[in-house]
Amino acid sequence: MKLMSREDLYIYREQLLAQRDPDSKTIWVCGGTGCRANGSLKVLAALRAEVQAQGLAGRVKLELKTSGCHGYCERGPIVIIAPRNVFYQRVRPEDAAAIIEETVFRDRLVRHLLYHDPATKTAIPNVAGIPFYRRQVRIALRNNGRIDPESCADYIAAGGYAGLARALFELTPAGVIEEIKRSGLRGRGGGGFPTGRKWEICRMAAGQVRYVIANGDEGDPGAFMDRSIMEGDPHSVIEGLAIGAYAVGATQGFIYVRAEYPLAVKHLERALEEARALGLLGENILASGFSFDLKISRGGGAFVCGESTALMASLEGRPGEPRAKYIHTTEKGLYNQPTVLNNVETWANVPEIIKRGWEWYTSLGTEQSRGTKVFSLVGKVKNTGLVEVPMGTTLREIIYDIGGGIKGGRQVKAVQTGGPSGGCIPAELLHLPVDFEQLAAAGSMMGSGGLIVMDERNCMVDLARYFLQFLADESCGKCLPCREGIPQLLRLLTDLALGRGQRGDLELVESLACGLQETALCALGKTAANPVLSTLRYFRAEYEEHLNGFCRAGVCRGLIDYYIDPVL
Amino acid sequence: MSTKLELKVNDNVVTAERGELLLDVLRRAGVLVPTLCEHPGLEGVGSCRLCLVEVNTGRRSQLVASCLYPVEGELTVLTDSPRVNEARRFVLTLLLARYSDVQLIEELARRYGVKPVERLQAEPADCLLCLRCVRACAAQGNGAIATCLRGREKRVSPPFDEPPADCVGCGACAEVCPLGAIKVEEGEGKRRIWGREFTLVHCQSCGEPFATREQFDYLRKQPPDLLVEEELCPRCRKLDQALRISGSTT
Amino acid sequence: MLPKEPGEKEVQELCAGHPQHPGELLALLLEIQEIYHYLPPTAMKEVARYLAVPESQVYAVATFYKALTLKPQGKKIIRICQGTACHLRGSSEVLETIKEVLGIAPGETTTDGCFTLETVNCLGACALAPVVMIGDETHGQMTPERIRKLLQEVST
Repeated sequence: MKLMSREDLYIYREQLLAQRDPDSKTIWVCGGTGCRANGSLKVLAALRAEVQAQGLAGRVKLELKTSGCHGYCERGPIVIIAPRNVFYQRVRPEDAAAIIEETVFRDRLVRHLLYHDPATKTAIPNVAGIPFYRRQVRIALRNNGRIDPESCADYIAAGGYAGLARALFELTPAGVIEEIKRSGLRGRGGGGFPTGRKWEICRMAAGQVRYVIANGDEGDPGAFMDRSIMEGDPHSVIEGLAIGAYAVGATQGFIYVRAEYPLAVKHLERALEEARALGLLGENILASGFSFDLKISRGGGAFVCGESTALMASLEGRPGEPRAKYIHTTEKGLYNQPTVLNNVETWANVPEIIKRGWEWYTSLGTEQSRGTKVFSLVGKVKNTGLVEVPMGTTLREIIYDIGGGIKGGRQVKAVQTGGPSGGCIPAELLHLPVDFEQLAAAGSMMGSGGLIVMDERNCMVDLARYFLQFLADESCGKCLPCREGIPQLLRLLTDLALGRGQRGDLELVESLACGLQETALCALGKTAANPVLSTLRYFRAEYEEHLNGFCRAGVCRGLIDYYIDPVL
Repeated sequence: MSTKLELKVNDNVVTAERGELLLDVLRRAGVLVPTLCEHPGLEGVGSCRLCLVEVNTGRRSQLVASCLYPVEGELTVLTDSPRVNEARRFVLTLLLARYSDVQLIEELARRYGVKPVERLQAEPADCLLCLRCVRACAAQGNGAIATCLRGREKRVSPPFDEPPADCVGCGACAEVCPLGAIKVEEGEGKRRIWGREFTLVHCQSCGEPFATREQFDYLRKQPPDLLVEEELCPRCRKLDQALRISGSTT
Repeated sequence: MLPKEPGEKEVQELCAGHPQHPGELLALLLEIQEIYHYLPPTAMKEVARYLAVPESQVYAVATFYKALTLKPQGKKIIRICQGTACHLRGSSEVLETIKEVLGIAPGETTTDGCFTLETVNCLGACALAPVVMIGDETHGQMTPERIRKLLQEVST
């Protein structure tokens, strides 16, 4: 069936909603990578077998479905039973019988599967009551966990493609750009460049063809929101790209997905097929006269390909080496044509902004940073997972109110944001709101949204050394400062960790780091010094202790003759 | 839009064409900017970072690789500011740590007063990864060599680390190498490079060897305007042309 | 058993599934890597011919990307995540255990050809740190003890 007009889409959605039986129950088993790793597919199989064995026999109408990631990976496998949205956590295949017997047939709760508030020790029956979710505002993750990512019908029923329809039938391309500009949406991949302005420059640039690209090469170790969006709500990215393509005048787009994300590729492929079959992609979309199609390209395992020019080189069949951006990719990008490249999370925001209007979006966030941001809250917090909060939420709120504080009652020492390009923010600055400018002023950056919490048993020198090792492995080697400078810095920090540091090393490290920042060719090299410079800025005493042969966290093994097992 | 622009370079006014590369403008104005990877006639890559200069567009000031930076508007350019010197010294410090026994690097370091830093150590290397060879080969249309691997391990190599199938033995790579690191041997009518052996073609006029048989075969496959009829070395060809012109006018 | 070195025809068939465009290079190499667990030189040369790109470009790409290898891999690939979250939760201890049990370093294959050990920068399952992937299966919250047990299970 091909949808041939905006009305067709509307009617189709109405039909989908009408088909829903209010008395029917749905068991949602999380099929995200995190829950799969915890055995959620075995739970699904057990539930299925249980339904077969017990037989529904007209007692209840039931659907068994898999959803994308709920974000609360720590508690996986997660099973939710709609319509009451009963939230079961750490579900094992053995629990299947009880879930069917009790909750599905008798509407009773299985107590040991419920989430218990650690403070009050009371059981919380549904999603809405759980502290991890209570503070969140979900726009980019709006459908994650609520729809079957392999069903376009689910996406449409949830209001999907209404944004594209509005763009195509109510707005001119310039009008779409105006909406995005007014919304204040900024790039979620790291830099925070205003999205609307990027589109406008591309639209105005001279070129034979134009391209739009979704950057799904989420390389920041510690961040996985793009993965969850591509896996859990692939149509939101596709719809965003289609709207962007209409705005800038592109007919071809690409989604560049990390090599390590096979499930994201699978769900995106499936989503493309379904969207094409429904006439939401391809020639003459919804008979609007606008044509656009997408191709999925897999990455090859290179962090540097998250950099726009390197990503484009990779798409062109070359090693992912960045080039100087004195002429921007919006003017000369892929195959030297005007190109808009945005991060997956940015694209996922677009349909919702167009559907609901820019005014709505500006009601969230801060003056300079509108809307919400997804963070992957990991490290030493109790509740790890994906959280989406309005910009301006403080780090403390994220770590304590959502993350539940630190494991083992320990103290926060620092928060790392922005991955290898970002920096460490000390505990004294937890009152900082998350906002592009505030984080940059503190010597870190928003980055793609990795938020790694560290306690006193993490060593800051070790962390800086870790990131340098990472960057040394990932440097493309094209420019001299990055190729030679990072290994030199790494060697100096390794010496510190091994107790072989010398007087003057810290000053040397500082001057090399500043030199790297000034001279490297691309953003990877320029920001490679951030983890070192920010830890030196806030934790210089710890570096000095290493010079004197002491690691207070007990991590640098060269400095201790015993070893403490890390708390897991 | 006017194509002529006025730039302020270290307090002097210099004119430039819109779109011209900043390094070319600076050189024309007689401003000395150190370079390594840059080579006239080859597309810039900006990998050595020695030619960094400070530009101010009025909105912001930044360091740019002058070999790649197109002049698109009015600019103030500083080629000797504290910021530029600091950056240059950093690059030379790293170079000196790796290429301590390379004369070219020693000279540059001496010129800018950079001394070796003892704490910085690196295995000595004989390739700067300036990529002139790779670019020269690509410019010839062969693409017989490229870089492989990445980061510190990156190196120039023929494909599969075997004698390169696409090489025609023209020797352009060796010609442009600033360190003379690419070995070319000639003798007994043969040229050996990259582990392959090529037959030398002798000039039909003076008899000197000047190209390889494979080079001619390659050229013959190109569009007709590149077709080479007689196998003359560049000097004899010029002479031949001069004689023909003088012959036709007298 | 692993598929042997592919014949010319097999690679040609693989190629035929892609347009003759240089932009297909990485996709084609990834496909060959998936089937043969490495990139045989004959296959790379065939790809260069099919896409009409220089062999040097194929080699540059093949050696640049971590997901591609020129060395034959073991039957099962063990990937240990070295992402930040995993690092902070003790992935290096887990790595040490794997090295000790299998007697190989990252990038190496056991002499019986069963396992290849690889480190990866992030598997994107940070909430389950430390994470190890064995073949297509992801295992979270690893400890030296748990990985020891797991390796025993997959070895038998």
